[in-house]
Amino acid sequence: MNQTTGRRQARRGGALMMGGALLLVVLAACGSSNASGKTVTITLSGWTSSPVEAQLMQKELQGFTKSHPSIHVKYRPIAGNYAAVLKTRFVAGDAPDVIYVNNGGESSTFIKNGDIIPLNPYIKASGFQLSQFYPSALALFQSGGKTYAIPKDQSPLALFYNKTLFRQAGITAPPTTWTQFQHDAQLLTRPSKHQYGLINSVQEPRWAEFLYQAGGGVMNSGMTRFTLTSAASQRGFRFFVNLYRKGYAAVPTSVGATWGGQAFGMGHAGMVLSGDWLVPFLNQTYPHTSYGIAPLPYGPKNNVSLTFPVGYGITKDSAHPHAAWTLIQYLTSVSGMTKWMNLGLALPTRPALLSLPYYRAHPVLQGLLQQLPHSIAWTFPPGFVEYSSTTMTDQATLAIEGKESATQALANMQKAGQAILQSNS
Amino acid sequence: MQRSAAARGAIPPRRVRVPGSGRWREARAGYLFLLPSVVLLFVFVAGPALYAFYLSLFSWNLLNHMHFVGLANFSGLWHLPLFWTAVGNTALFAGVVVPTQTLIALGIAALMNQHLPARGFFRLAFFFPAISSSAAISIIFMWIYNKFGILNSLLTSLHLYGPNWLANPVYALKAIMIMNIWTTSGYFMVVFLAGLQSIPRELYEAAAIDGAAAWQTFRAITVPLLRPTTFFIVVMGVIGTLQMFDQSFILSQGTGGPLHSTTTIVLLVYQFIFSYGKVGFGAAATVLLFVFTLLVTLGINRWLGAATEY
Repeated sequence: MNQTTGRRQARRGGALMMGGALLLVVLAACGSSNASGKTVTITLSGWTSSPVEAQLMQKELQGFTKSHPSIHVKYRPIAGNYAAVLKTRFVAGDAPDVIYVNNGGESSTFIKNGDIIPLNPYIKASGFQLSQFYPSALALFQSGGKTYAIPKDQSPLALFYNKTLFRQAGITAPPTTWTQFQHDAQLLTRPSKHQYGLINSVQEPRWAEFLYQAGGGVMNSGMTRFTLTSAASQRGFRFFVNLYRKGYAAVPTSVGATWGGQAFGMGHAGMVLSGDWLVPFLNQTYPHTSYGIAPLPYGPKNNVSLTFPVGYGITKDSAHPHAAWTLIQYLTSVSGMTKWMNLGLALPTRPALLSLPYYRAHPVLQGLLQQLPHSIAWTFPPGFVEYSSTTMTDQATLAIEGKESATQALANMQKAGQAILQSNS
Repeated sequence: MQRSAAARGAIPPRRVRVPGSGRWREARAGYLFLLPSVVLLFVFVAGPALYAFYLSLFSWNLLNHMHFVGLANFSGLWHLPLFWTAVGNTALFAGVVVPTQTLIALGIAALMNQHLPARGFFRLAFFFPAISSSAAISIIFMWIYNKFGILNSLLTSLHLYGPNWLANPVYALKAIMIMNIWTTSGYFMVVFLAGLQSIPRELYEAAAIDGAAAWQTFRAITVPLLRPTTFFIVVMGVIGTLQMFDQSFILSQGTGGPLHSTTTIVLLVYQFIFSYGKVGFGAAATVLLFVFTLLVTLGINRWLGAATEY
């Protein structure tokens, strides 16, 4: 009785999270007071792409509870702005035990602040094999020789192409080089029909791969210096900007869409760079769009893409880190990850799982799987959220609109980025 | 519980002996009744507001330890172009929206105060946006303002060129202004209507006997006697527009874009605190907004505060 009221109150607390942090503290205190006795209660929080995903997660957790009757897992997905809500829960002293740790500078911030604990002692004690994970995905959650989260899944960006539009334009296969890519984009562009070769917004993860493909990059490998103005980086960025300047590429709003995937589903885009998340969206919202997925075309040096791994971490205030580790171990084990992969929401962080029967049954995903070994995890040092989400987008916008040269845009980004690095050190 | 029972028992004899103390008891009961509201007010309104002043002197990203930086956040804001962009956007928004919505609300209220056919229907139609959720309205306007949306289809049928409203930095804030005026005018119309009905009839009768035209009556009687109502509407309008957040947030999908053209002060505060890990900057901007709002409100008070009487 006491337990059910506690649970109900905590659920209500979840709905009020944004509104009353104080109320939340009180309610959450009720929620966790039933840890006495033999069963241990831990909380798991993450974001969800859809109610379906939340249900599937709940199901997977039921499997865990069955095999670990002494650990009770409360699943508390966070709707809306995950990072913001999670921070308020940290401030309120009510952080979940296990959280999703995101890429793009969130992992580095959490590690730097000490919000998630090093897992090394648990990894060692349980004989967990880190060597079975993609090093690029794992590296995102490692710092100073310590591992702070275990990558649960990831998705790289690959090239989604509209088969119908390709056929109409007389293109037989997806492009494999930059030259073909630009040529195909030109053939696919029909401004009178609001149709463009490529439709993507100009946020940094949609153009950084071109820098890598030209042999440049956003930062050096130690993330101590920006390398945006190197000759190779400039070459990559110019290629991207020119696609827009020549009119072969467009931003989603120019065809009345809010994001590239939507524009692609609506049939306005011949190609779009996207991750695995576009697959369920297309199947549900635009089931009649006939599409294929190919690895990114090769630039002067390679066809590297960005990948977006997400990890499970244990928060610093967790009262039951051992139980939390048992859960993480279960969910990221070969069998746990296999179950998660069979839902088709993301790609594995264990190379061994690329041969799953699921992928033979869903051959459309091959392009994404082929891209995986050629991808870099998307990340920034701590304190770069504002920079990566505003400065970089603004400068790229000015560049594609021709209000600023590509070189000038990169120079501005370089200067602003270096200034933040300096003030942080 | 026990105390109040004892107190209740003690009331009658005391009231007889000391007349003043009965009043005190009444006052105490009054304060007791007020207590829950006062506590809630302090915990959820005054407390956080004061805490914002405190936070404006600290450097904190929500997750690390805060440390005192004095007025560094204020000087940081002062030298931040983005802050001035937000100030400019907010001032422009308030400067356009408040006069326009006040005039429209007054005009519609004067019309609705006449004995026109279907008056009830129109009152409802104009008031309706005010009771709808701002978030829902914003989402509907996203479709209206879409490049291939209702508004541009209409403009195209009139052989006019419709811009990409929300993706063009020149038009995005104007689009939000139009939406905001449409939403709030109806509410202020109702306030004006109430003001109009409290103007004594005999003044109009006297004016009619003196041979005043409708426009003269409106200027010499209606507008001056509506002054307390106008004061309320302008103050509420200014405070509301200076704090505009939700409409920018939804229409720009949280970015304040394109190119910061819809970044208002409060949206910037939100981004500072929850996205960029600069709580001190956000709190400092809140303090500056408070001071600015206070000064503007005091100015309006001097201008419109005193009521006109005949």
